[in-house]
Amino acid sequence: MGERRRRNMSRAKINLGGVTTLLVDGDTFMRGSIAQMLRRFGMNTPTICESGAATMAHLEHHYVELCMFEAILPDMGCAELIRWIRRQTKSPLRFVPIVVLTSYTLHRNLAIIRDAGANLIIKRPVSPQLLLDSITWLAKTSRSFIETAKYVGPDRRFRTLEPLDGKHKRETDVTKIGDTVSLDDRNEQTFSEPSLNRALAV
Amino acid sequence: MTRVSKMIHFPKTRLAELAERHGGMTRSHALEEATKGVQGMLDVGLDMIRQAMAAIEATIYSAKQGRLDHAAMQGLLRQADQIVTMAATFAYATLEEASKSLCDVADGLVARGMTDAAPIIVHVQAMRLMIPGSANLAEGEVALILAELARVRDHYRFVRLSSGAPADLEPSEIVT
Repeated sequence: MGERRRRNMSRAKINLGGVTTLLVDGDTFMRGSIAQMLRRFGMNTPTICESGAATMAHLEHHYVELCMFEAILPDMGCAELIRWIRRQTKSPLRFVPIVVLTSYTLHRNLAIIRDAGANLIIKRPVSPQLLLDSITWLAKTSRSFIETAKYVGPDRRFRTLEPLDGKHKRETDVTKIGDTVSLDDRNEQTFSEPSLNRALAV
Repeated sequence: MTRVSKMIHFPKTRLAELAERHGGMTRSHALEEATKGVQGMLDVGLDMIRQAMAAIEATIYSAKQGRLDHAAMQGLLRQADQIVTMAATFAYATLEEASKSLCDVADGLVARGMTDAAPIIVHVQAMRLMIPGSANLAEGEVALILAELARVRDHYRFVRLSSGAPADLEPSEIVT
């Protein structure tokens, strides 16, 4: 990273005041240290839940701006909890950014969490730098939100390579930001399930 | 052919809206504050390292005929995971490395259904030397100990969890 860019990054301000986080982690120390970091970033003291069921009960009646879940909850996998959130019809809860904290960064575990609809996975232990940069990235990066029968969550594609045959077939290639579009309504396009799976593959 | 309904939304999250407001703090200031906050938890962290270490030692020194059962190994893994977290949070790099190595070995033994206590014991003894406030080790001595721990892993051909193991060897804790 260039010296000028690094200086600009240090000078740039981010206002996280008033941001409420829901923190779900069974480890008391990790919970304490993350809560400490969030407060020092200027965010509200996070709401703490210790299980998936308690989290669901809380979210039925409260809104939060950011969710941070441990990958392994005492009563369920966090993937189940994420899928529940993503399928809530109550907007904007279903669009809430979700960060998962895990020590087990094996590829299959990460894929399960990603495919449940998490925005970001962070390897524990979490440093202040990593946490702040992750939150900043979530706040500053606009990602489309995909809703299909099998997947509801942020667009999992990060690469923006040209298609091999040069033909743009992805739906987002022709959609302007700011719209909510039903593809079936828009151009009566029909997707078979296999082609849809290919389109969503990372 | 099955018709699949698909929607694409472009939501602006509340987090993004709030972060766009004027004011706030610079990255360097936020990090400085957060680091101070975490360092303020050092005493708690050290206590937790000592407690986890004592629990691991109690387990391994109660091994019968040099064997540890599956439940003991799992308990040991949980405690070692706690030590890895603390050591990494407070930048005790050598203790972190030794604890990670213990996790690799314990996880490998569990995955293969083995019950050998010896590779576990040698790791725990090494970790005891690296606990803050224990032995005053020179850099060369630390390197030598870590190299010996690596030889133990190599002997069993255990993969390193931290470097990403093949899918068939992963722990099964994440339930979908």
